[in-house]
This record gives sequence, structure tokens and C-alpha cells, in this order.
Amino acid sequence: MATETQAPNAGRRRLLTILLAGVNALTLGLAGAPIVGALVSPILRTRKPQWIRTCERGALAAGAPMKLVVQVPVTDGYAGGTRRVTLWLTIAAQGAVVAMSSECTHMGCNVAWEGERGRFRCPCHGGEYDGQGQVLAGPPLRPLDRLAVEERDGAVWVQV
Amino acid sequence: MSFPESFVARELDPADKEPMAASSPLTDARRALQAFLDEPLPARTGWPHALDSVCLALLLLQFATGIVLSLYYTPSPASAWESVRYVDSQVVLGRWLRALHHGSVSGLVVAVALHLTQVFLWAGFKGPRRFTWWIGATLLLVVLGFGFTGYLLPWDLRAYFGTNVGLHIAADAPLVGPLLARLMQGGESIGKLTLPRFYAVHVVLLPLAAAALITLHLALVRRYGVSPPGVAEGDPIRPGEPFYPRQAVRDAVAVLAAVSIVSLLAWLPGAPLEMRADPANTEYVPHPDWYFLGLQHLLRLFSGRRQVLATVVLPGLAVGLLYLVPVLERSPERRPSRRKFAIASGLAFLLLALGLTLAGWRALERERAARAAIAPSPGRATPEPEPPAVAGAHAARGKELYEALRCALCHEAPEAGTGVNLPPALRFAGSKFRREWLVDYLRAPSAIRWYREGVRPVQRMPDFHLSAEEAGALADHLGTLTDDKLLRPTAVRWSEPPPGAEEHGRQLYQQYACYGCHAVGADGKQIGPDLTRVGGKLQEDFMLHFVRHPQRIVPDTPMKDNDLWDEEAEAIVRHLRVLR
Repeated sequence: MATETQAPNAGRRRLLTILLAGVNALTLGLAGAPIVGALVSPILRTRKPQWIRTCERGALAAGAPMKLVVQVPVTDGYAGGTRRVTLWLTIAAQGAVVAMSSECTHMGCNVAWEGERGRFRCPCHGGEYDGQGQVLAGPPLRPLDRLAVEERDGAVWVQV
Repeated sequence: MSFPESFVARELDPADKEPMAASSPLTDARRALQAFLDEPLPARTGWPHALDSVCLALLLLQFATGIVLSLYYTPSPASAWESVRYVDSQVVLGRWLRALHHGSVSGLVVAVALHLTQVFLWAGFKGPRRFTWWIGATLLLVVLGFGFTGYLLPWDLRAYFGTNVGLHIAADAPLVGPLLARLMQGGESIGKLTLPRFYAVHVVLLPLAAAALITLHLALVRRYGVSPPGVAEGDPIRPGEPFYPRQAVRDAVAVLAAVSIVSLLAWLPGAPLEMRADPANTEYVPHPDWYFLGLQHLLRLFSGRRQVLATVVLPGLAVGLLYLVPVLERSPERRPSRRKFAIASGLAFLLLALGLTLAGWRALERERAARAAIAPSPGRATPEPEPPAVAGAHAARGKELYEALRCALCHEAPEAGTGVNLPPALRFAGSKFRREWLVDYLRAPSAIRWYREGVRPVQRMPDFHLSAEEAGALADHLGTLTDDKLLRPTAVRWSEPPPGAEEHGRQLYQQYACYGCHAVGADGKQIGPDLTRVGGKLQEDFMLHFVRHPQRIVPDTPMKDNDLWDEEAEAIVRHLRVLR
């Protein structure tokens, strides 16, 4: 009896420690895989951009950008749906239609067109852009994001 | 004020009556409780030491109110906002409950900050107490985490946009930032997959962490004791009274005071619930809760490439400093008079945080004023399917919807349309409402009646999430419900006002003191319906009939018959019809 309750010798002790670590690692891996998998699952999905029809080309004018609220089809988790998004449409110097995202490139708040000052302003941290979305003042680094635009039969289509 | 000291202690001490051998779980528990109450405290323990109990009590209040709120809340964008509004408007004392839950976070931030300040002043973080300090600092972060994750849950405008900025800040962290933000957000945008993530962290992860940290914190306080003010190193710490009863009474009184203040603040303004979240909204000025305003202001100060200073470096430095306090100040000295540099640094830190918060608040007010000044953008258009162009074209489909949605349940109840705060009767809806307003209202009932901040909900109409076509069809059906006997069409040519008629109407509006019950913008009382945009809502002929003989149309309305002349009624309606 006395010999059995004594600690195993150093070699056996080391082996048992390694065995213990291995068994625990296996258990953790077995239980952890689905947990981590489900946690990161949404990141692994990417959405395909889609073309949506916005407005008639004739509705646009050079100068003041026009605000458009569009319904973007999204797959959000277990059910599809639409997401309301604001776009700003204007006409560039060369006559091409420009569609800009309303999200400030700084922290993602919606910019608004201040007609009197002729610039976009973001109310979160004071970022300012000109009518073509170029940065004029404040913290943003990049101009407003532009969306791909196509004109089909006089209507403006935007890729969202 | 004196208490019979340790009176109860002697009477209840189980060791007096029972020998150790008779130990049982019950006696063990009694002995543990007794030992807890008899905790010896150093002399000069006093009111400031009640702050830790205030922190604990407010945290427990969070748990209790949060558990009850979770019985009503649904973490889904489709119904989160409605479920919160239900708590506010229908649950008994629900508004108070939610305001307590919302307000005690602010109370908690203040109490924890005061507690930290007090411990810092009296150098309660030295020696082995540094572990207590570190656990406390982690608890502060947990409290801020509660604030951040809870902010999204009501799913109103402030929730959506505040969280959006928070996620962008997280995404700015080098290397792991974008991944972390995506992990928090779940889906491709803040939506169905985001809300459950924030909810789970808010109601499972953080409470577990808080409970574990509190237990550890209390155990460490018991192990190493509280620190009395201004003890020099080497001085013997003179023993004072046990915790029970004198300090226990101080703690209880302080907790009562704190809960009273939070209740009062909760009761007066209540917890805010703004319009439902709408990512397309460009009128709203996003902002975090007050305790994050300083952080938000940092983002205004550091532009372009230095942005990372505001998002990661400086907040990280502040948190790092908080943890490093016991490492940076290692001298055993504990008297504030001998720790001038430490005290000055702490004070500078506090003033900086306060200054940033104040600057952030003022900047927020400025932006709000600027946004309010911008007129709505011209030429608004949406690519969503337009409502049918010809009014009445889809009335048959609308009738089906009217039945499918069981509109009659409320609107054709016997009391419908008979008095104040009852569902309006729709049997003459076609003579009453403007079609465009109906379409807008049916699409988002809560948005239409929620355009003013701080005004309580005035409608119980559910949001059926109708598409534009459905709302148009329903409006077409309602358009067929006319009552030419009660609301005889008049011959007034509303689109051709005689010169000065609108101004005359405005004067009559004042003369008859309509503002005594009706609000237009910020002017007037909210007793009767708000008339700010009434011109876009009601047909002129209906208004004319109603202004002349209100009680013929709504029998129990408190609006009295003013015996107006035809010309006066017409002028008043000419004034009202241009309010849009």
C-alpha cells in the first residue's frame, strides 16, 4: 500500500503531464471548434453587389447633389430583406453621373448637404466634403465612397 | 447617534452556544455571516467608505431591473424598438423601470469614478491592495462595456448611429481592428445578426464577468482591509468598530440616497426612446451617452493620419495608466500631503476627462443646431415601387388587407371615434385624410408621430411593416370610405386663397387661443392633437367641418363648439392647411 500512494517517479510524472495536456487539448478542440466556427461564421460570408435602378437622368442637375433613399436588398442572417441607405447623386464636370455613399469615410455617420455653404458636412466629428465628395475639412482621410453607375434607357442604375 | 455595539453579535455568536463539533451547514453559514458583519474596520472609517456599497447596490439594481426588462425585450430589429416602447407605454411602472435601468448606468459611472478617486487619494492601492485596485479598474471597464452594449438594444436612432461609430472606432485598431469590428457586428451591416450579439454580451457575458469580479473584489477587501484616510507608513492602523452596525447604517443610508437620486433623475426625464433606427436618416446627429462624449470629442481633434491617436492610442493610454497606478507609485507613503505629484497627476487626468466631456457636449449642441437649420433636401426620390398613381386603383386589394390586418378590431369598436385618446373611426376616412399622409403613416406609424424629440408616444397603432404598394392599396380602400352627409363637400376653392386670408386665420388661431390645447412646433400645449403638420394630414373640408362643430364628428371630444362664422372657420383652415 505505502509504495502505491507515493508519487510516481520523475519519468512517469513527465509522461502523465504530457498525457494530461494532450487529453485536455483534445477536449478543448472538440468542444471549441463548433463554438469558434459559429462565432466567426458571419464574417466568412460576403455579399455580391447588385444593380438597382434609382432615378431618371433628367432629374439630376449639376451643382446641388440630390439625395436618394434607396432600398438595398440584403441577406441579413436568417431572412432576406432590404436596408434603407442614403445616396447622393450629382453630375461631374464631364457630364458623367456620380453616385456617392452618404457614409462619412471617418466614422460612418451620414453626411448631409448644406446648400448654403455648398458642402457636405458630417455631424459626428465635423468632416466636410465638396459637391463631388472630395475632403475639404475635418478628420476624414478619403473622399466619399463612389458607387459604380450605369445609364440604361435614360435611367440611372447604381451598384450597391 | 450611538448604537449598542456588537449587541447582536454577542447574542448570535454561535460559538457561545454550540461546540465546534456540532458544526452543520446551517451553523457554518450563520458563523460566516456573523464574521462578515463583525469585520473589524480601522479607525476613521466613515462616509466615504460607503461609496463601495453604493457601487455594489447600483450594480445589483442593474441586475434586478435588467432581468425584468429582459422579460419584455426582443433582440430583433423587427421588434426590439416596439418591445421597448411597449415597456414604456403599457407595462405597469415600465417607464420607471426602464429609466432606472438606463439611469443607474450613469449613476454607476459616477459612483465608480468617485470610488476610484477616493481610493486613489488615500492610496488604497499600495502593497497587496494593488490586486484590489486592478480588479476594481476591470470592473470600471465592465461597467463601460455594459453601457456600450446596452446602447444598441432599444434600436432607435441614437442606438443605431452611436453603435455604428463605436464599431468604426473598433475597426480602427491596428491589425485586429477590422476583424474585431466584423465579429461584433456579425452581419454585413448592423442588423439581425448584430442585436443578438450585443444582447448576449450585455445579459450573459458581462454579468458573469461582473459577478466574478465583484466576488473577487470583496474577497480581497476582506483579506487586506479598507484603507483609512491619511495614514503615514509605519503608523499602526488603530482598530475601530466592526462593520456592523455603525458602518452598515452609513452604507445603507448612502445607498438609499444614491437610489433616490437615480430614481428621481429616472422619473423626471425618463429614458430616451427616439425614432426607430433608420440607416438612411440624414437629419439625426449621432452621439454616445454622456460618459463617452469625451472620447467622441477626441475624434474631432485628431484628423487624418493622426486619427489612430484618438481611436486607440489615447484611450489605451488612459486605461493603461489606470492599471499602472500601483506600479508607477510604489513608495509606501500614503499621506496625500506627501504625494503631491501623484495627487496633481490624478487631478490633471480628471480635469482633462471632464474638459473633454464638456467640449464634446458643446460640439454636439452646435451640430444639432446646424442640422436643424438645413432644409430637407430637394428632389427626394426613391426607387422603391411607387404607390399606385391613380388614387383608388387598388381599393379591392386594400380591402383585403384591411381585413387581414384586422383593422376593424380597434377602428370599428363601438367606442372608436367617440372621444379623446380612442382609436379614430375610419368610416369617413376618405373624407378626412390626405392620401399621401395615409400612405406615409401606414408605412411607419411610429415615425410620423415621433418626429419631435421628448414627446411621449401618442398612438398605439402597430407598425405592420407594409410595403409601399400595400400602404397605397390600404389608403385607396380607406379613400372609398366617405360620409357625404356628415362631411358634405364644400365649394371652397382652397388652392386660391384670397390675399391676407392665411394671415387672418393665423390671427384668429391666436384669438381663439387654439394654442391652449394644440401645439404647432414648439408653441402651444400638447393637450389636443399636435397641429405641426396638420395641413399635410387632413383634408381642408374635413377641417372646416370639424372646426365649426367638433362634437358632431367626435361626440366626446373636449374641443368645444366656438360658434365660428363661416368666414372665420374658413380663414382658420386656410392657416392650418399650410402647416406641413
